[in-house]
Amino acid sequence: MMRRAFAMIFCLAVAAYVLFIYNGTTLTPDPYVVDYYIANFTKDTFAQNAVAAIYLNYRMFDSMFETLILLVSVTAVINFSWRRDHEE
Amino acid sequence: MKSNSQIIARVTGLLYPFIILIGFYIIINGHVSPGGGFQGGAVLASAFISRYLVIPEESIRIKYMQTLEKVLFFCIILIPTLFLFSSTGNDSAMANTIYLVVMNLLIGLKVSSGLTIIFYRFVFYEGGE
Repeated sequence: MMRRAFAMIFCLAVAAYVLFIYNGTTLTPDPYVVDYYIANFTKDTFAQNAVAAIYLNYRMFDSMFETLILLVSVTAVINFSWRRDHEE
Repeated sequence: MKSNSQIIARVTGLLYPFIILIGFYIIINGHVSPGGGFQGGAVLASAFISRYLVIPEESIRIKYMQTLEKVLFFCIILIPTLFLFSSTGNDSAMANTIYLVVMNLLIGLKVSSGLTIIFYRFVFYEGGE
C-alpha cells in the first residue's frame, strides 16, 4: 500500500513536470521543414501518403514513444486497480 | 450486467466480418490513402469490444494479450532500427513499401490489443458486483 502510494505520487510529479515543460513549447513548425516534407516525401520514402511518410520514416522516434506511452498506460491501468480478489 | 439482449447479440454477430474487414483495409492501405496503424487498430479493438455485447463472460485472457503487446512493442523497436539506420537496402521502392505495410500492421495490432485490455479490465475488475 505504501509502495503504491509512493508510485502514484511519483507519477503525478512527473506529469506535473511534463506539463510545466509543455507550457513553453510552440505548436507551429518551421516553414522550411514544412516545405521540405511536402516537396520530397515521395522521393525519399516511396509513400503516396504524406502523413504515413512522416510518422514512419522522418519521425520514427515519435511513433516508438507513442506506442510506449500506450503500453505504460495499460500497465498502469492493470497495476493501479483497486480490486485484486480474482487476480489468480 | 448479466442479461444481454438477443436482438443486439444476433445483429452484432452479423457485423463481425465487416468490422474486421474495414479494420484490416484501413491498416493495409495506410500508405496510399488516409488512415494507418492507429486508426485501424481502434476499429479492430471495436470488434473485440462488441464481442462483450454478445457473450458477457470473461473468456479473453488478459495476461496473454499483455504478453502479445510486449512482443509487438519489441518488434516495433527492432524493425525500424534495423531498416532505417542501415546504409544499404534503403533506396528501393519495394523494400520501402514492405516496410511501411509491416510497420502499420504491427502498430495496428498493438493498439487493438492495448485498447481491448483496458476495456476488459475496466468491465470485469473495476465494476462493483
